[in-house]
Amino acid sequence: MIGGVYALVASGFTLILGVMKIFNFAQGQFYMLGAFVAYGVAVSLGLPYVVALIISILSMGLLGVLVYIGIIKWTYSGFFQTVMATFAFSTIAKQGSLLTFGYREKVLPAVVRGIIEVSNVTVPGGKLFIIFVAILVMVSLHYFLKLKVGTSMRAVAESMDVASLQGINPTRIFYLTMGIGCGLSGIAGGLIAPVFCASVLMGERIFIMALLVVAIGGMGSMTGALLASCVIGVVESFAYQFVGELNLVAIFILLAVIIYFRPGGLMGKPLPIPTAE
Amino acid sequence: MSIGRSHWKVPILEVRKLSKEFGGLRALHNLEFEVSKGEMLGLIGPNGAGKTTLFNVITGFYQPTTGKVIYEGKGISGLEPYEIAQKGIVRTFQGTILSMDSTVFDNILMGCHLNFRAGVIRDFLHTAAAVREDREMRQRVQEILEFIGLDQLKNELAGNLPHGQQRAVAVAMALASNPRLLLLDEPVTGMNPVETATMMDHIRNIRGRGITIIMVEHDMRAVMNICQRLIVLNYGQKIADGLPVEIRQNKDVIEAYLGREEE
Amino acid sequence: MALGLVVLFLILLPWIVDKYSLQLIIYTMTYIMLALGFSLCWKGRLIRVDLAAYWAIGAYATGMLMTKAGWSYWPTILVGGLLAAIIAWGVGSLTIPRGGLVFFTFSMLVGLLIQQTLAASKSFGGWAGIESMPPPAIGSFVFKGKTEYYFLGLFLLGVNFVTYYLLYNSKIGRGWTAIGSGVGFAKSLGINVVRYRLSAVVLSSFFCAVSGSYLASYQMYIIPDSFGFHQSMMIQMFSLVGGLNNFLAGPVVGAAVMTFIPEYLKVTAEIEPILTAVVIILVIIFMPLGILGVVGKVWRSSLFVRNR
Repeated sequence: MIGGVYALVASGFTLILGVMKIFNFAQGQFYMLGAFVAYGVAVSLGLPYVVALIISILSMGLLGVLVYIGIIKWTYSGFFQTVMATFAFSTIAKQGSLLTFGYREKVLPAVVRGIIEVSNVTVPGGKLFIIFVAILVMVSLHYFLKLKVGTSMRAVAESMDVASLQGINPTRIFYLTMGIGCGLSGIAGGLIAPVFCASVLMGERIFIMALLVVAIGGMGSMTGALLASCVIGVVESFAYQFVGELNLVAIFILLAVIIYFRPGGLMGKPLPIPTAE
Repeated sequence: MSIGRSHWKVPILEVRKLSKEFGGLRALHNLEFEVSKGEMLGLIGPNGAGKTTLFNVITGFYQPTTGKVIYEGKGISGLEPYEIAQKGIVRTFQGTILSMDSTVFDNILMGCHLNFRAGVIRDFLHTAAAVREDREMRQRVQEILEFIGLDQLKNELAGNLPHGQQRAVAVAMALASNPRLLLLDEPVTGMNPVETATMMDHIRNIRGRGITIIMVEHDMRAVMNICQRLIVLNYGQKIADGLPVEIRQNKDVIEAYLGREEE
Repeated sequence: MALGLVVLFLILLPWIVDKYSLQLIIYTMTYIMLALGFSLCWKGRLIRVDLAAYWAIGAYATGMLMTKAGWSYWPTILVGGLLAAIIAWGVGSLTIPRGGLVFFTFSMLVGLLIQQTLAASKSFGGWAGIESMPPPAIGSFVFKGKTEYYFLGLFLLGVNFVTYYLLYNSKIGRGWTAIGSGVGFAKSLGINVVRYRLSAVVLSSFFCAVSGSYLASYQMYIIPDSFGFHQSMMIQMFSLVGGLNNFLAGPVVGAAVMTFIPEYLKVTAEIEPILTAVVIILVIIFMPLGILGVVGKVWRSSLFVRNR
């Protein structure tokens, strides 16, 4: 179940990384904000859950584009610079949310609970719903990428110069990429909100998981992300039964094993390296 | 039937049944030729014929799909680029790649890198031997600077130089690494006639030191003037191999170039 | 001559500044060592996000060996450093050949792993860390005040600094510069890129651990929280603010500025990260080469004016 959520966030991350060569540190924060938006829309405004989800994905997509226009566009001079810039934004997002939504107590921050019922079915049904929506989104994404726009995105991912020579406007592709990438994170957050909660710290944890998914599944590949998130989801819950807190270590061991046998990740060809090659 | 090759018996480089494919794209197909020690070989062909790809395969940046490259009697396919460089094959790149933030002097000093005998630790500790070697290297760089005529510019940042001089720096670097086989990728493309003539002189001088040179070039006059032998590639295959005067009249070659122009 | 004056100044420093500033300086020196390590790897265009974890390794080595095994302080520095070097060597050997992006991603994951493991293990004190470490001692002379720590830090930083300086001006340093200008370029010059990068990673890990041992001995306690991902990013910030292209001076300037300036701007702990983040973004946009970059530009254009 949670694998579906990982898949969404990781796919968004991979997309942005592949097309724009940007390592989006803030990917987790879009997830967190998406959850809060969903909570806000569904609980505070009382609108139906599905509407909340749609608003999550759209608002996060929009935010992603805004981040691009406001920050990334100006700091695009090198991989390191974009890393620092997205990291800075993620700090702003996280800290800003902490200040807006909850004070920080000594160890645990305040947690905002969003408990939403999905058409009379209690939480387990909710989990199925998540998988359903996740699959729906991934499949639509898959077909979307087959369209002309999708091929343009892939062209830009291959080579920005060649793509612009072919008449593709990179800026518009960037808007789209950021929009989709962050929107994916947003809807993931919206999906998880009723099942767990919306807390300000959830962004960091999911980001690490997304990275693990990407590392195990292969850095350029969507199918890899999908596969890896399922595997990770299973391993994580399984390991929790045995070692509790250290279940993350179990995943790292999994990562080490997979990397040993398949250095590029499960499906991977590692992406063209953005630094000085 | 070329007669040039019988003068030199020792092939320094042999390319045997060499093919290189990228996915479905065949960049090099069944190439077969030899280069003799001390020769000045020109590698020509229309754009996209695979000349730079061939350089990349020889220097280890690409692995051949089939076939092999033999250097001084030993196979080198599969070695890392730095290992191949250490064996004496040095190349320049098409889009002059230098350390733009370093001075000309430092760039050429980097080129000497291969020749440092002193181990890393001794260099770090600045032992007498390392210091002496450093001084020797710097002297050598100075010599090369004067040889190529870049002495005035030695403290300029490489990134600030005009293109033609950057090319000269690249050649100087290649020279500094004491190659036995030098691969020049388009050394005079984009240069005006004066710069071209100067560069050609340098190349002749380098050859005078006994270094074997393979040169990729589009500038036909330069190539015809300086090369003893030409190999012509088209669509990754060798279509001609011989003296410049023969190549000039070769039907296949003319067609290859003309055919491309019509595209 | 100028060097002599600087050295003199540094020696007299504890008696010139007040105690609080001295403490800040001690922390700054720790940070400088870390930032130097980051810049070393950056010279070969490797970005690493795990330095705080190696910092932790040094700190924990000292902490554990002194509290649980009763060791004297001095050998623990070496043990921590070697441990860090070995781990860095192991991870680096696997990730460096696969390229900068893989190295970067794994540095982050491994850094997290190290921190989480140290924090979660009860035998290392769990999340509460290690407390009441004994101070270092030379024979019967026990470290009591800030001055002693200051000179220890100066010594360690000095060793670090000189080592890097010598390396930068040698064949290796030129090799790293070449790699930084282009991996293919360096390869064609005969440089074994993987080996050069690996040595940078291992060396910087070693000195970061040394810095960790130093910090632990000064604080006399260790909290795993202070060695997290956030700190690793902070280290990058020092180099960024100081000057990305200045591999020795940049870290010094950056660490000093980012440690001292917040002291004079009294902002709440909540706002501070946001402010820092905004500063980072502004620096990237307006001062891409850091403070020293700006200084360099001013210096060069003043030369130009003078030569007219």
